[in-house]
Amino acid sequence: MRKEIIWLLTLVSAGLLSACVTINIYFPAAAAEKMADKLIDDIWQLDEPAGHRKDQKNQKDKESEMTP
Amino acid sequence: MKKFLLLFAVLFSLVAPAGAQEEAAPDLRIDTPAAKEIRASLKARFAQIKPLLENGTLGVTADGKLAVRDPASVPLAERQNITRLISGDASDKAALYREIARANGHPEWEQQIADTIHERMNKRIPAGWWIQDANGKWTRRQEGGAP
Repeated sequence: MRKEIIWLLTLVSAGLLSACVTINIYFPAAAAEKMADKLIDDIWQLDEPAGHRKDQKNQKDKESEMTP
Repeated sequence: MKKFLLLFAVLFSLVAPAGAQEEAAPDLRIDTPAAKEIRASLKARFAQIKPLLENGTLGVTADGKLAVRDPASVPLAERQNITRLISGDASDKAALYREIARANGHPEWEQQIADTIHERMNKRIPAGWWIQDANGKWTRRQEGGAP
């Protein structure tokens, strides 16, 4: 019984520890892309790449249709 | 019962990191006073840089920097100014990426932030600008966006 409890605790701790490491080294690629686009809009005022913003807009419209 | 608990613990340990990972992605801020100052500086200098990009004097390198495409074709009188524009642009960009990483609590993200910005930039570079690939070859961006 004691051996199994120790195993249980070890597994759960390992899982939680790896979660901490994961958060620390996880680079938020999607958030970074959004940030990059904001920066590019502000400083260089370039056009959107073909289809990119339009897709995002359609996505947002679909989402707002779904919410009551 | 004991075996069931054990199985549950194993599954939980595997799932918990994934759950935590999805929560850790808020927006990256670029609005600190320092970042705003650097952005304003880049924007102001870009007013002089833009015509040089449009007429092909300057191009964008593979790692997102400005470079003179054909040094021999630049009039002597303009060389000093152009050098100043290029180095000012480079140092502002480096300072901006460093500041964004710091402002978001991860100084170690500086290079990845730079890479992400360069990737997005590359997709949005307008037709007519010149871009240099990793082998040093210059090509002119055509209508229709990045290949």
